[in-house]
Amino acid sequence: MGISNAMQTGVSGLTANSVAIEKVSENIANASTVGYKRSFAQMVTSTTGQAVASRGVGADVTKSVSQAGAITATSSVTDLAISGNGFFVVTSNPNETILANYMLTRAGSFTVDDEGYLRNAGGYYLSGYAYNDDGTLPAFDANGFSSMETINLTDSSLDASPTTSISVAGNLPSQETGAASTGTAFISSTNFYTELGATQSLSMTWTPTTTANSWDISFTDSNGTELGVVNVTFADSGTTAGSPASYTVVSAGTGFGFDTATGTATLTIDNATSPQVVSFEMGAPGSLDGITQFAGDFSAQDFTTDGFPVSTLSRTEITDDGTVWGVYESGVRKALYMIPVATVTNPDGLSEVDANAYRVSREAGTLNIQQAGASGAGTIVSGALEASNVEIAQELTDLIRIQRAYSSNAKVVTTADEMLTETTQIKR
Amino acid sequence: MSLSTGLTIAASGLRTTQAWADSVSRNIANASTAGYSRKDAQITTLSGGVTVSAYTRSVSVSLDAMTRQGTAEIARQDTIASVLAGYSAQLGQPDDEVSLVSYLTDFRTSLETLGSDPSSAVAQRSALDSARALASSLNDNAAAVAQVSTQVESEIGAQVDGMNDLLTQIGELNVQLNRTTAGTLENGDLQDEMGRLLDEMSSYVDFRVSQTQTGITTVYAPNGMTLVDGQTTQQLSYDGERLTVGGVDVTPGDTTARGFSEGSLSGLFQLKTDILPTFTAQLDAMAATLISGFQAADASLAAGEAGLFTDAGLAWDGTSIEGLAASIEVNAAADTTQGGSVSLIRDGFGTSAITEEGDATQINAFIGVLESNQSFDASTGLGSNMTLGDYVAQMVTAQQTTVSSAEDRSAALAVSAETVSATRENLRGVNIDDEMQKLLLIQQNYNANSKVLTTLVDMLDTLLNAV
Repeated sequence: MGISNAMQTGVSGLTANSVAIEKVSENIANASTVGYKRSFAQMVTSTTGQAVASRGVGADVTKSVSQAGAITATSSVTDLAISGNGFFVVTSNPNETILANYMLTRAGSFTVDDEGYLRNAGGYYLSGYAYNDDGTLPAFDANGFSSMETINLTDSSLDASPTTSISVAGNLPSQETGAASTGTAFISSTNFYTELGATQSLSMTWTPTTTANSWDISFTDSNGTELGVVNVTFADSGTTAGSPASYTVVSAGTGFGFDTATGTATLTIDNATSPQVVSFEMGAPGSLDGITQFAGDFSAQDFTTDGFPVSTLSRTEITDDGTVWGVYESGVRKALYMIPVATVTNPDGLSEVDANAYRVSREAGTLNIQQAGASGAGTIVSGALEASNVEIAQELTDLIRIQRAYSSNAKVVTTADEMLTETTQIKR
Repeated sequence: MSLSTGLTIAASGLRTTQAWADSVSRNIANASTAGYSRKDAQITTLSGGVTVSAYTRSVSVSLDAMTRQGTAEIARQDTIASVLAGYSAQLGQPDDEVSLVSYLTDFRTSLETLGSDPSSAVAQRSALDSARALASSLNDNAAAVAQVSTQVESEIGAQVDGMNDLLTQIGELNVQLNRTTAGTLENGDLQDEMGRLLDEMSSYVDFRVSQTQTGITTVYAPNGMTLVDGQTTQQLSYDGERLTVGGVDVTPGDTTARGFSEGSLSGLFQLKTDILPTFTAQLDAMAATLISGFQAADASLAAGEAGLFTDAGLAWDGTSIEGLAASIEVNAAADTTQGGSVSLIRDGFGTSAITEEGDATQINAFIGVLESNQSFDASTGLGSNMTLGDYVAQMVTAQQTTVSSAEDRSAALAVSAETVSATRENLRGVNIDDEMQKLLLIQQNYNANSKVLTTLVDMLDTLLNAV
């Protein structure tokens, strides 16, 4: 029956357009919501399948989660934005134990809460992977949320770690060697950390000998005890000129070992019940990475020492690969957490929950958790936020269009109604 | 370009120009601040918008190092020249009336006058007076050197304290720098402060530094000792003799230690260990030759008896010349106020004196001391065999040369340092013209961005009216 079908179709148009206007109102309301993704109604025809049936319209709601908003700079370093694909992994409770409760979001307006957790404006806690104490990242499940923990920026007091290796790089002045009498020694010292995190110094005296290109290097601990003396002769020609040519041990105290093949001294420093053993690298023969000897200034000063003392956190930095660095009062920098970026095959298929967060759904496809900047994943921008991807102009245009469509549909319904009235008035 | 994104981008443009204006206004306000380095806003794109990614300081590590080395070299020479300025005025030039040379000439003239009329009491008194003037001039010079020594000693103490204070401040500043992020205005200001401290320290000693990106500074002594490492500092200590850092000798000018070689501390140590001892030895050697020469020429003296010039009233034993210039005086036996007799200068000061009034033998022997070559102590560095007149002239010239050469070197160094310093200032200093030009640019940018903003708002309004 044509007229009643027309009415039905008109009503379907009214219903579909009211869904559409609902979405527009959502979008306009959230035009300034950080990380908001617009949703919109797509009109699809609906038929009953019969040959003579009229085709109505239905609204199919689609989210444009994959479309990024503009990134704007802010002044807070804990404001994070993802430039590129992917989401932050968040939970509604700190250190969530139920894996299904993990959510994804691009709303990165994180602040440190009273317990030190990073929480965004929606109340979700940022999750990441904690670095091991030795500075390595533990292996993690790339397709699930296991072994994730909530990032906490205050309970990371730095326990002392003893120094196990020191390396030195720098130049010894070649013009000082080969004089008639032994030259005055140069001195350099470096601090290292004991098992208890106390600072002790290790000093070296570099004495130019009367033989050209030959130096005596003596190691002394902070008590003034000489640990050992090593002689090093530098190459003065060929491709390796300026690099150590050979090492010989001149005198060795208790526990002083030296590997002449690698230029590494093993120093046993008697500062505890069981002495601390520190390896000291000066550079292998033929290598210019450690100490060198060219004509010029003395600069054997560049020490690289591991270990650190007990120290409190001074500030944190977040780099674009998602590493949260703790900078401690003692000047030590340590990687604390890795903020991963989660990507899914079809971001638009994620199921939305409160506060711009999404749950992984079957429709979204495979979940892939990786380091920021790794293949397919975006990088993390600290001190920036992703604005809503709502385009006001478009929403307003849609508003006009939907209003017109709605009026037209209403007109169809009233016209059909009038026609039906005409029909019923045929019989008096 | 969509309208909403356009609005966001225009807003980012406004924010960025505001931040840029912040850095420009800081530059202009600090145009005359010593040690301030220009901060430039680095503007970069951020997903279509714009942001200030960092503020860079205009500095050159090598120019900083060269300026500091120059300051240290000048400070050393300046210290020597300024500390000796008072003594130099006291010593006088060889042809000044108050110089030792003139006093010696006066003494010789009056002896010769006496030689022509040995019996004249007036001539005798005049000869003795000029001898006293010579002796007291030596005393005054010796006292002046001693006073300079005391001054140097207290100055070293004060400068070591000043250095230690600076080292502590650098350590504390390192802690503050550690709390800031590289590239921020806050960090830049702290780095400027670090530069000021290092500049100040460069007038004390020469040193080397290495800095991290955040400006955390490690300071090394010339021998490689670490003076400041992070917040740990090694303090200098001075025991009245040696300057040490953490038990290692860094005494300037000592060949057995690789100590500091420039800076005012090095200048003071050069005065203390080299210049002032030489000056004292030269004055002492002159006094020694005067005492021993007139002792030897006095035929009347028995062994152990003092001659015309005495070592504080006693005969000189001939062993050590130390302190003679301070203690030399004319024999009290010729002082009438102490019951002495002026005629002793004609007769000799010994027990077997000649008593004949017209006899000029002894006077001629005294004149002979001044005419003939005498031997001088070798420690003076001026030669050991010459007449007293030549020696005094040489000594005064040599001492004045030490002072004037320090002044000359300081002036010469200042010329080259000036060039480096000017280059450094050009690099890091604020050029008001440039900043004003930037300000114009900022204003234009701001206007343009706000124009975009108002236009976009107008467009949205049009759209809203259409609804």
